[in-house]
Amino acid sequence: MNHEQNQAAVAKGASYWRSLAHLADSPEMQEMIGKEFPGYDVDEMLSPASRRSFLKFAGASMALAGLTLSGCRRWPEEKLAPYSTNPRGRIPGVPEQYATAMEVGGVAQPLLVTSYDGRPIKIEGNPSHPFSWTVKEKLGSADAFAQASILEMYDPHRSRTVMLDGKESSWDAFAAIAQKQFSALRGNGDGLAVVSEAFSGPSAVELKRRFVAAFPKANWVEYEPINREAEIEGAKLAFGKPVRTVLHLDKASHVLLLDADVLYSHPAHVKYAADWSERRRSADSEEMHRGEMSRVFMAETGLSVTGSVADVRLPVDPARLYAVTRAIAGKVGVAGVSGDEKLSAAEEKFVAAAVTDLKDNGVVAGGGALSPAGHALVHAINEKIGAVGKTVTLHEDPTADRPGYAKAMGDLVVDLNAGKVSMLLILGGNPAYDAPADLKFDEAIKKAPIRIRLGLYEDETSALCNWHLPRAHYLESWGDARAWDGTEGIVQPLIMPLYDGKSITELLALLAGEKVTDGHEIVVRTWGEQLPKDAGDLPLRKVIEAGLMEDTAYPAANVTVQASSYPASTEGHLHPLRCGFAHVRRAICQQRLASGNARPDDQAGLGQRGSDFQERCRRLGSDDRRHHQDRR
Amino acid sequence: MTTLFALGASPKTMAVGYAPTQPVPYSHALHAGKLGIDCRYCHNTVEKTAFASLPATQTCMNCHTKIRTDSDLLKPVRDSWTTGESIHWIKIHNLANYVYFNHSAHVSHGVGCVECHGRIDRMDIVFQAAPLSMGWCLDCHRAPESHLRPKDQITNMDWKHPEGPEAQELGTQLKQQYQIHDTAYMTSCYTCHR
Repeated sequence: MNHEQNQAAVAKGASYWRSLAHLADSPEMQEMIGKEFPGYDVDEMLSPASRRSFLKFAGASMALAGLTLSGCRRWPEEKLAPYSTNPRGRIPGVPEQYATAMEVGGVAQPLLVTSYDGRPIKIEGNPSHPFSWTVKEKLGSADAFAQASILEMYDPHRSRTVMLDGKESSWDAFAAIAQKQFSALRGNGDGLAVVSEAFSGPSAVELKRRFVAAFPKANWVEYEPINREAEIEGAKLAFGKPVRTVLHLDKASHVLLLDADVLYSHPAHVKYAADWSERRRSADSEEMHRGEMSRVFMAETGLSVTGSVADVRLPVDPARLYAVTRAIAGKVGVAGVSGDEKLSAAEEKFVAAAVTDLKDNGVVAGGGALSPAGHALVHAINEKIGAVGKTVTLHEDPTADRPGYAKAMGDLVVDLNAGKVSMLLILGGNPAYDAPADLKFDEAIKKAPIRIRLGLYEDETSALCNWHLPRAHYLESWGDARAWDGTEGIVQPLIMPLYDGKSITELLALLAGEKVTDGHEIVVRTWGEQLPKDAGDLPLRKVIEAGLMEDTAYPAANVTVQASSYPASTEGHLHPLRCGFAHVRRAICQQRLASGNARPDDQAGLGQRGSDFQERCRRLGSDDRRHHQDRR
Repeated sequence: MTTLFALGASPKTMAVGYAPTQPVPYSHALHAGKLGIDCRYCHNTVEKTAFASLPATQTCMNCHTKIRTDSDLLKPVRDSWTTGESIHWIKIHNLANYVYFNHSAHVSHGVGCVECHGRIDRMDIVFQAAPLSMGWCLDCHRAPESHLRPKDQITNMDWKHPEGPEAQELGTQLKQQYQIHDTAYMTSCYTCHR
């Protein structure tokens, strides 16, 4: 483009330009655009004489380098440092694989981690674990969170040192002070409160038992921001006790899902996805279940992975989900549910299609925004269509034997505000960030004089605590955990803690004044009690190698639906965690009024029915999965 | 000037004969030559891995807990044994990081130690015998026949390649036996620069 053309372009209002200088069309710019290689003289670069002189100089300088470097050496000196004693079975340079598990929300995901010269480099599923394999005994699968957790371990932003009031401290300093404070509380524990992540492994549960035994009056609060509280409450409504529901999608011909994203956001989704795809073979397939295509019906409140592959999908308002569930129950003939639910045309069509073949190897699952009453109905439907024991099995769930998260956290905040908590111990999680906003946990936390936090990162919660203790990553610590079906597995470390961290179990042992505070010794002790004792450490080695202990799944729950009536669909059927915690706030107001510590606005608070949903969304991020990732 | 350039930058000048002083004056001439210890007694992973590992201190101490237990020269070995710290040997045969070299692929396919390392069994102090340059590698990759030896002679430094027509015959037979790739694969850039 020449000058005149450019001028013309600007005069016309050039439609594109490379820079503002180009648009202004300065003479310098003109000169620069004219050259293909600005800053170089092309003619000189290409002239033979000049090239020769360049090589001459280059050769001379390299020759001089060769003559003057000490020892005429080409590379810088490198050292080789062999082991003093070779670790057993280790061949330097050959990758090795170890079975371990990652626990999220109290549910283990079995893993097989590749280690190269002592450093974990890749995470995959454990092919010998039924909750991980996609092709039996051949291929293990792990989800995106497990895959990403290796980057979390190497994350340079992880907390590295013990911090006391924002200043660097040490484990020794913490142990000296904490042991004194905790031994003063021993046998009593009044004023001590613990907020912990969920965990399921026998060693961790045993350490919790010992800790609670040492401090019997301590308030132990378990809290997970992404949880299955509605499901647990629903099972209590239906059966009178919580159960662990295990779907068998490889056996189901008709899968009806009520906001249950079983292929992605369910704790057992790796297995469920494998099972489900087992029944999606086309007639041309030469594999098992040839031509046996299951049908998936999904009523959901937002687009999910499962919904995107459903054969029939109904987008449904969260407030209508229970009504749709009730209509299905009515059509199936669940006792105590009339079939006269008022539905929209789309809902009517969906329900009619969904229930048609449900009795023929069908299964129903609830999740997401489904209310406890909705989950109770799901159990009743499954029982009515004869799915229980075939396409769905119900198991005992010892992990649900605890106060509900909403109530426990609400009570703790009331205690904190009343000044009843003198020492607060926060194990993992990040409650200052992800506790329901209505609770104002981040303000209540400051009422406890001593606040101790164990965490991977110095985050919002650490900023509000006196002590921040670095936590060991699961790839750095010994432990154990139970998969969705309850199968026990050992979490073995792939590397020594990078940043001097301790696991939850180790910290509990330290604070409870246990003699054994080493994670490995704790695991050996716990497992030594249930493994045969006459064969030395061989049985334990076998469990560690396989990554699981056979026959440790939760036993089948012998339950039948006891509920005889279900609430009408007109009100009060939002998920407890999706309605802004208004009921918790009301409870807090009520408690304050009852205890005589009422605040001016408490009486008004009793009548409040509104929701802080938007405020919660702002703080939590409206996308649960994204939030989940943040927390990990 | 050209001569100087060639001399200055060539691996022949820069690498061959490199013999740094090691923390322990370990003599291969004594151990491998005079005592006849097989290479693989110490470099035990050489047939299994890309990297021919150096022996752990433990391997030295197998004998040296009984022999020359108070030699001053062996003090770094005993120190390593008691403290668990590594002995820091200086690397002699050092390839550029952009070259992939696999010891096991060579050793288990008929390339003897002596082909690249020279008469280690006569070296009191180990030095680099071959230039380890790309041209030198390709000499063999283009015509592997004349460098292959029977499996039982891999670590034998005295074994001589046969001469005359017999050599051609043995080479062809071994190439077939070891399933050595064709020239196109052996000289492909990607074989070594991955």
